[in-house]
Amino acid sequence: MNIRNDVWQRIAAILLLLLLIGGCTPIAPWQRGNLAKPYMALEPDPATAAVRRHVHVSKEASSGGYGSGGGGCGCN
Amino acid sequence: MLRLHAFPFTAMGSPCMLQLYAPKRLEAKRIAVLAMADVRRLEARYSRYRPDSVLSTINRIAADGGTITVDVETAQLLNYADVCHQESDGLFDISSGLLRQAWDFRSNRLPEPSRIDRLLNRVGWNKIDWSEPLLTFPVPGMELDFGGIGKEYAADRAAALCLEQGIAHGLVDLGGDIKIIGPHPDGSPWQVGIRHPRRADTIMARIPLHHGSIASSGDYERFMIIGGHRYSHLLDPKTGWPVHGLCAVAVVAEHCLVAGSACTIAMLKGERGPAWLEASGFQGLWMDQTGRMGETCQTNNRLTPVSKEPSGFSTSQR
Amino acid sequence: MAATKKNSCLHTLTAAALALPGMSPNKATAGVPAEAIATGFLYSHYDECCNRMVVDVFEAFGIAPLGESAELSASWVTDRIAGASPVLNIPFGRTDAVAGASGGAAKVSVTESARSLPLSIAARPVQVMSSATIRDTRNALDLSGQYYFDDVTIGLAGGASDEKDYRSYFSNLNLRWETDKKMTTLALGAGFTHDTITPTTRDIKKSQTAVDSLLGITQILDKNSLLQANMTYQYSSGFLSNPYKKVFISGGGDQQPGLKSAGDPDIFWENRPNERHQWAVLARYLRYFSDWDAALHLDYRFHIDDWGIRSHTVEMQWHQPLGNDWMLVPRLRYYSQSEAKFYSPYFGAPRGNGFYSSDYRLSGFGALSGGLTFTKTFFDRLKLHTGVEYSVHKAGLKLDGATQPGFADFSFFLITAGIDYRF
Repeated sequence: MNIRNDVWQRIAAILLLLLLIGGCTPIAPWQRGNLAKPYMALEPDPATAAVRRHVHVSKEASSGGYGSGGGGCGCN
Repeated sequence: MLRLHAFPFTAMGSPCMLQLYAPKRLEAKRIAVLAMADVRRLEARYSRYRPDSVLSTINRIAADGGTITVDVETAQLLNYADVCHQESDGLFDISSGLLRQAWDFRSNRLPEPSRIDRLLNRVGWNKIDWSEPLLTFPVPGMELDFGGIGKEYAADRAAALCLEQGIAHGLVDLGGDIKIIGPHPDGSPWQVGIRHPRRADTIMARIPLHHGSIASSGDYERFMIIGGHRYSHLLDPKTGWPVHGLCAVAVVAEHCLVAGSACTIAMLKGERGPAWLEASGFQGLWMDQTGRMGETCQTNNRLTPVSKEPSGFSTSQR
Repeated sequence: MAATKKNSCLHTLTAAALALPGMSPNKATAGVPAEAIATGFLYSHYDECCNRMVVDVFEAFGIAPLGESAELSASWVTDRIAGASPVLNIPFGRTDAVAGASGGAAKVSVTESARSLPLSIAARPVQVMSSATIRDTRNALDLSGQYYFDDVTIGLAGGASDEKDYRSYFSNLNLRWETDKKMTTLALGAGFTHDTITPTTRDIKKSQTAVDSLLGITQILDKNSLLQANMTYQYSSGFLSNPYKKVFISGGGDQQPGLKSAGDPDIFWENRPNERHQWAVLARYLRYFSDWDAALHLDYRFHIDDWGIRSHTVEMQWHQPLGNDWMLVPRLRYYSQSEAKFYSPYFGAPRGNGFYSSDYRLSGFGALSGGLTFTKTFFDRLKLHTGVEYSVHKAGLKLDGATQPGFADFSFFLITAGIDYRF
């Protein structure tokens, strides 16, 4: 496996940054109105997102990042 | 298939009702029993009339001018009362119950001003030292009263409990303080009527509610009329005399506790009540002494005023 | 003064009220099962340029709550695939070698980008497309269930996909845990996939297996924004080559173990390693803009594997309500990948470790796509949506410049239309 060290450092830095962000001020329940809007969900339209992801995985050499598992196809 | 099951009961000196949608009555009854038990639990803890209640224990300490450590729930209620006191510029005051001793609404007699002045010496939330969890009464002979908070808090808790137990549609009605659990199963709102302050068994407005709560207050609950003038039970803690200005106020809010406090504060503000409701961001409506109704901008025409042939009153929307 | 007082009393009282015990029901906000049965249908049309592939996808799905704490969902997909696909690259000077290739007459298409690298004409790679038109139908069934505890949600999913030459089974387990006053959600996932390949033009039967894992964190930053970061790892083993793709190895007379002749002297079936480790890191930022009542979704994904492929994906979406229950979502995506270590358009000489592929998917290229989706909602129950996306794959769009001429460049349209109904 020839993964370079600096790539790992980059990944570790991103994750560390995100863990530090964990110390945010909590927001009260009545302030969650904007976050609760359907288009503020991480995936507002999962069916279409899945189709697009399938197209990308078939035509590109990268996969992963978005979710776990999902099954394959003999995409040519 | 959801069906509506109603459970009337009496608590906190008022007629109460739980309306729950459930497939079977047995399931609804099980949950209603849990909710009613919580309401009665709060009544037992904060009723003025029960010598073994938490409130009575506090008031015994207060009578002697001592210090008491309160539990978490009571502490949060005192915090809430403190916030109401600040937001109402001192008009909302849980120590003002003492003034009741001067006002006997069955006697049809006005009290002696000197009696009121003596009582005022022992009234005032700012005379009390509240540093959670210690409640200290430097001035002996004071008295606390959770009227205006207790019933509304119970309504919110009962609704939350029903939701947790799986009821998604229904409402909790504790003596006119209503908290919605969820709209009717077809999505349609509950049509809540607001009692007319002068005409018994009539409503002055109707409001559709999908969620949230509504509380109302008025000068019709306990009062006496002397010399053509109405004296109601809502007493200004600074003067000791009943407030004047509005006949009735109803406020819609997410929580019944907030709606109820806003109602009480608006009534206590008298003629300045409507302006206070507007500026504080509440959705509410009121009727003033001339019978004219108004609502805050925030209410957004949700209310349907009900007008009938008036006799001396004109009901028109602002 | 009135402006600052406005809304503050209501909020002050509400804040104080919420501090009281039992005021809100004890239900994790992010982990609540669907309240009602919902179903949907989605049609997608994938259309590659240049008479290549066309795919029509029909999907039906549904989700239903099960009791108070669980939900079940299912989806059925049917793909109809038709068209041609690149099979081999050969040097332009050797196109005659294709005429007698096994499988009948092959189509030779010469596709070059305007900025081809300077190569002698004879050496320029040329794509050879599959003979005849591929026609295949794929059917897939996915099932999943989720169970919601107070702060934790557990999900189990599985499915199977079947087509003439390919069968795939997968299953995965995932866990979501809400912590820290519901500001942070941790996600853990593990999955397993097993595929069986029986190509129509060869007498082989192969299989591959993959296991993947996910670690993720979603953090609410403030009342208008949140950030998600995921890290995934996948290990695949088995037959990872594409059984239809061939490679041209000039002077490939020395047969290497694992390399099988595809009929002609210099043409062999491709041979990829039988193991692959892939890592991906995704960062996703969502922000709500109250002035527009709109949301921005910004994604960046970095992917790296031990085949030498590194890729960057940047995607941006803007979700804009238009009033009257209309919604418009424009999106933009840029993708860039480096070529696999054992990739070459064709091979001038045999390679040491015996791995070869000329599959355009493993080449270095960049892709730019833009799309637009419209949605209209009726009575809060029925949603109709349609969208179009156009994507361009070009060697020249790769970050740090092209590593091959644009002979393999292509583009496609993706059109979607769907209905969602919530009971």
